[in-house]
Amino acid sequence: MGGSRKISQLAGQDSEDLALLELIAAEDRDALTELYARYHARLFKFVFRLTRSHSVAEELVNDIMLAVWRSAGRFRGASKPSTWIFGIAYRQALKRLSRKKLSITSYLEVDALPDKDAPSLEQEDWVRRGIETLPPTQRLAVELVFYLGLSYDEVATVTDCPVNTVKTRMFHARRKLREQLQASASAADSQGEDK
Amino acid sequence: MNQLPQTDDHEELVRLLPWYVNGTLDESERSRVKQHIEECAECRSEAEMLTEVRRAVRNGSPAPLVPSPDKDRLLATLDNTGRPAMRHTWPWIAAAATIAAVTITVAWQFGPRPAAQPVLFETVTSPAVNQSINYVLEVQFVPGAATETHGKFFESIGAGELAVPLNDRTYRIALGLGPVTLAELEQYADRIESRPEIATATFVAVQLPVE
Ligand SMILES: [Zn+2]
Repeated sequence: MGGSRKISQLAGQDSEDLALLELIAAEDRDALTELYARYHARLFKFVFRLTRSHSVAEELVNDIMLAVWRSAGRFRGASKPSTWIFGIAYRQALKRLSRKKLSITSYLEVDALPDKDAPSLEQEDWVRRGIETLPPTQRLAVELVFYLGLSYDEVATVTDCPVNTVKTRMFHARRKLREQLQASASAADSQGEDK
Repeated sequence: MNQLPQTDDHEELVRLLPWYVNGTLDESERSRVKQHIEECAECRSEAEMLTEVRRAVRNGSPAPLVPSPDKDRLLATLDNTGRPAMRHTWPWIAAAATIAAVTITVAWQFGPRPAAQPVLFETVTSPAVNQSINYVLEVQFVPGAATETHGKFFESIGAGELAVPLNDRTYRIALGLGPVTLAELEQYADRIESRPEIATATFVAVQLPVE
């Protein structure tokens, strides 16, 4: 019943990840594939949300693990291993998202689905579309806060930004979202009046 | 004596609202925000909106089928790390963009046609697309379906001019569906796949307009 056992149970996942990172820093390939197996699904789901593409998501997960392989020796344990790994995921995703050129107008000029049974837009869809049109850093902040459920300190660590920047970024993101929601609501209203 | 400097409090606390909504504030911050929200209509409305955003994020994009981890691929990448990991990205995008343009501009024709290069085919910008989004659907007909069946199928989905054959029963079609959710795309592909003449239907790329 030693105290150390209790601690290792509490932080079981973290301490195992930490041990793997140490081995990876010593270029242990089995440790890398073990860490990859542990994180694959979480990383895949996260980057898939941002890319909507299986093959790009898989490529990104690969790139993330490669970056882990290269930089494991620089991990100093200042944060949880998972936070550090998601920091790498964040930078890879940001790089990828910044390449896309997606304009808001392309969302406003909506062609109808070639199917009369297609569901109409609901509030949640507008919110999701709004999120997708945010600048990459704001969009990722929204994902980190609401999909991964990170605290502001954790977001700051993952994004390597001061906490104040994180708060400001979220503030701007939701101001932009609100503007878009109001625009979509008034568009819906005027459509209603036309009838 | 509860004369708190309301506006200063507001400036600070309004910025904490996302984390109030996601439940990660520590207890003292949480109770300050909670109390402030009861008095401040603006923050109340902000918190409601953020709750909506959180719900949309968590309900949206249903978790895709997660592929199995491909350790061999990872180790192969590792073995090639003499050069930077992203080295093939730009040529890859260029190749994909070329195919994307071909997909849109080449008219449907019967008869043999050189198969497209088996490049990864993803989100690309294409000068051929103007202010609209195209989703590239890859369909494979069941073996033995007549070419006439192929043509009828493309007409029935309004893509008679836009199908590019990859081989004798696999085609890519750029569909101008407008912006749709992943769930809608999946439903659309499922509906196509449920047709008797179709073996598989999968969206393989989205083409975005060039700004
Ligand atoms: Zn307030």
